[in-house]
Amino acid sequence: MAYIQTISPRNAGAELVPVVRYMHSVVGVGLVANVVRLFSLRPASMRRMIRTWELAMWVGEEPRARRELVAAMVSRLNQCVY
Amino acid sequence: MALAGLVRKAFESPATLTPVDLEPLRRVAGNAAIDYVLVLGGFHFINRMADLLHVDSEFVPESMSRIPFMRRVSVFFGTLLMGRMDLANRPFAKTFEQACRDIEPSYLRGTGRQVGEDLRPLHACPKMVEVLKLALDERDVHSSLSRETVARVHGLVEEYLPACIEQAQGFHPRPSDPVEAFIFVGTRYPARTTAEMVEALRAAGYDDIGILDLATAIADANQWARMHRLLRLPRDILSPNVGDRDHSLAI
Repeated sequence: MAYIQTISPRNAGAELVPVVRYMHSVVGVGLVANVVRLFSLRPASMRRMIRTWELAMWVGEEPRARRELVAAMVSRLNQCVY
Repeated sequence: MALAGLVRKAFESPATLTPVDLEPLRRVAGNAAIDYVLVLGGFHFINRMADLLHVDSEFVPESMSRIPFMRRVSVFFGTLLMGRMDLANRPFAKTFEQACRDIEPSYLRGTGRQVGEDLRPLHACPKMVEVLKLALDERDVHSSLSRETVARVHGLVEEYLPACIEQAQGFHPRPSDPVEAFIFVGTRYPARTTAEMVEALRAAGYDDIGILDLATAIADANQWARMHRLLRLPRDILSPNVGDRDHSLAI
């Protein structure tokens, strides 16, 4: 459980709903990753997080597998279990 | 090897990174090296948010994550989910010049000057300009932190940034001030963040939004510390009022 309050998509208010939909449109499935949900107290910050993630992992011509490899290496070195 | 070497150095001694460290990757990947700097920096950001604020796995509760079978279950469901996601690459619709025009108001507000030639190193990768715009707007429009607090965060991240592996993995005395302790651990080894550290922030007057903004500022400063060094970008774009420091003096 996160150290701060978060809002689940089920309880999203009027300001958060479009951001949740934006997240779904980026990933192509009905998912709001827990690390994205951290920002749910401020929908504008959540939208920034999603767009930055999209720019890093989807936008461009580099193979997705190689981007995931870099992400996994960084996370392993940081010992980030998430 | 070029990619692995860069990722390792950005973890072990980010304070010593220079544009020269990107050259081996540029030789094999060309301008795509900038894309990998974004992924590298982006996951230093995401890892810090996840550990400073304690994010659980989507599939297995933390209490069960040390059980090998449960970890395999987690990987299985993670793979299933990834298989359903749209992972296809997407184009960036703007030119460098268009992206620079879009960032201009945020840039002027954040740095007090026009873009000019500051972002020229990003010419081959205009999406990075949008990443910077989003970070500037987060800092200057959305965050509840004062400019002075943001400057303090960036200054301390620069001071604590590891210059050798011992600083990235060793054991060191933490600052007694709860905000400085949060910044110190968040920069050196965010996986060691504890609930008590966050409770100390609450006792110091931070509410949920304040803690979120503090964690975001720490994560942003750590991402930026790597990116501006590797891409030869002016440090003051995102780090306000940060003077030059002798990193060898850090704990």
